[in-house]
Amino acid sequence: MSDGSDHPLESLSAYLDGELEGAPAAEVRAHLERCARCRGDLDDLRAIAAAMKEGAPPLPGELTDRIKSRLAREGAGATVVRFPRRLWIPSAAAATIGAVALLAIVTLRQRPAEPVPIEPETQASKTLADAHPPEPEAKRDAPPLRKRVAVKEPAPRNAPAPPPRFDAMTRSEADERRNLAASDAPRAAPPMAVGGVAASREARTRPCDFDLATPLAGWTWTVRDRTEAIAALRAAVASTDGRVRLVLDPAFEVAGSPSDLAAIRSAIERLGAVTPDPVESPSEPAECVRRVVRLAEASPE
Amino acid sequence: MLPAMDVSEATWIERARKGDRRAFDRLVDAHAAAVWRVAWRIVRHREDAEDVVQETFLAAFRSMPEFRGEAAFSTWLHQIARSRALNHLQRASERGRRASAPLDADREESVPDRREPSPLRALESKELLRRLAECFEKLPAPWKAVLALRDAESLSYEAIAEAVGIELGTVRSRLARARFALKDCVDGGTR
Repeated sequence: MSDGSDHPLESLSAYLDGELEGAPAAEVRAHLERCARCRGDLDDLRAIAAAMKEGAPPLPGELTDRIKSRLAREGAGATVVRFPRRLWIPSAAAATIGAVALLAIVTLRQRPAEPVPIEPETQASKTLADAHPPEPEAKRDAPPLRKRVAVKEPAPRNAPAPPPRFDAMTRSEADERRNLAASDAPRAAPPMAVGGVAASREARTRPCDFDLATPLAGWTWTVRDRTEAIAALRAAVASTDGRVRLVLDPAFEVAGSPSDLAAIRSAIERLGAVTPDPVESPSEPAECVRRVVRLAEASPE
Repeated sequence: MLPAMDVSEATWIERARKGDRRAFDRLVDAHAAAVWRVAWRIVRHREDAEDVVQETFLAAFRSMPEFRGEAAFSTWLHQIARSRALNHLQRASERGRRASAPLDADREESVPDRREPSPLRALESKELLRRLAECFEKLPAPWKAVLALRDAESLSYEAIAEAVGIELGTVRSRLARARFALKDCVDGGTR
């Protein structure tokens, strides 16, 4: 990396970290001897690195009490499950066979999530990345399978799809949820928003929105064919180390073709950690299930 | 061999492994401040850091039966905190909820003028921290991650590559870009 004037910026950064040895380190040292600007940059980077270690405010006084309260309330039973985007699978084909929604029910045991790969930036809004475009990724992830909010009403196709809904909300997320409608408009349509279904603000504040206090969290996906459905199953199982029980909602049998459903059902059985039996979660609000049904019926193209 | 630890902590850990929540509460008391610092240094946002700390201890409690003591309890706890904090960065980025105002067009297109002396080092420590927080917020999540893990958490490039799931070379180039973007932003506020 260079700024176009032969200043070895990337090497300078690595040099700062002691990551250069031998000839590369000698080159940087030689450059530093004759380049006051880079010496200054190096000092600046050191100052920033030092400052990055500072500035943590003191532990909020009541935080440990809140932690203990949550432990008492939901210590063994709550669900916090992540869907690493890295594990989401891309769309298989543009042609749509049918929409199949899967209801995933998380088992009560939960281990800490594996480190989640951070994706290259995808924000529509401009940030510092715009001034410094990202480097080509050595390992570029496939586009994600779009996880959608269960919605109430179908909307015109090609409408912007809502942002991914996370299964478990933290407090601040819950607050933000109320403002989600405002965040829809400026976001670019995701790459898989074929046959997109708009989510209304009302729909998201209904009982389908789960939070950490909900004993069983529900996920819904809208997928466009059996390939995506099976990929979603695999991603769910992989991302939770098998501690997820997937249930094929019986309502969706009317939405997919028999062969698709047979393939999906077979995949569920092969994955092992899931059940092929259509079982409704006892804690799942009935309205939520019905809404999912409506989504499934509305989505096939 | 188990790492050295306070005898009473070893007792709490053993009890907590068996599901004793009160014993785990003692561990919360003992480690909350350190976990808070880890969380804050990565997300650099108060509410997010609070969420990360809570999630960390909840996850740790549920995973206590799997804690074998190969590493120190604090090390294990901090790994969970880092993982949760990275999750938070990613989710915040996806929602775009804290997207900052864009830089002006000239700055977006141009290479920073590197002939002028940097005023960054002349900043008061408090002002530097303020600008750092402001500029860090504008970085994309992947850059925040490598920057925080390296400069704040002092992780090796290898550990960062593993934690974030990217190649070593990407760590190096991304880190450089993040650092100079951050530096330019902080500098920009002084010109």
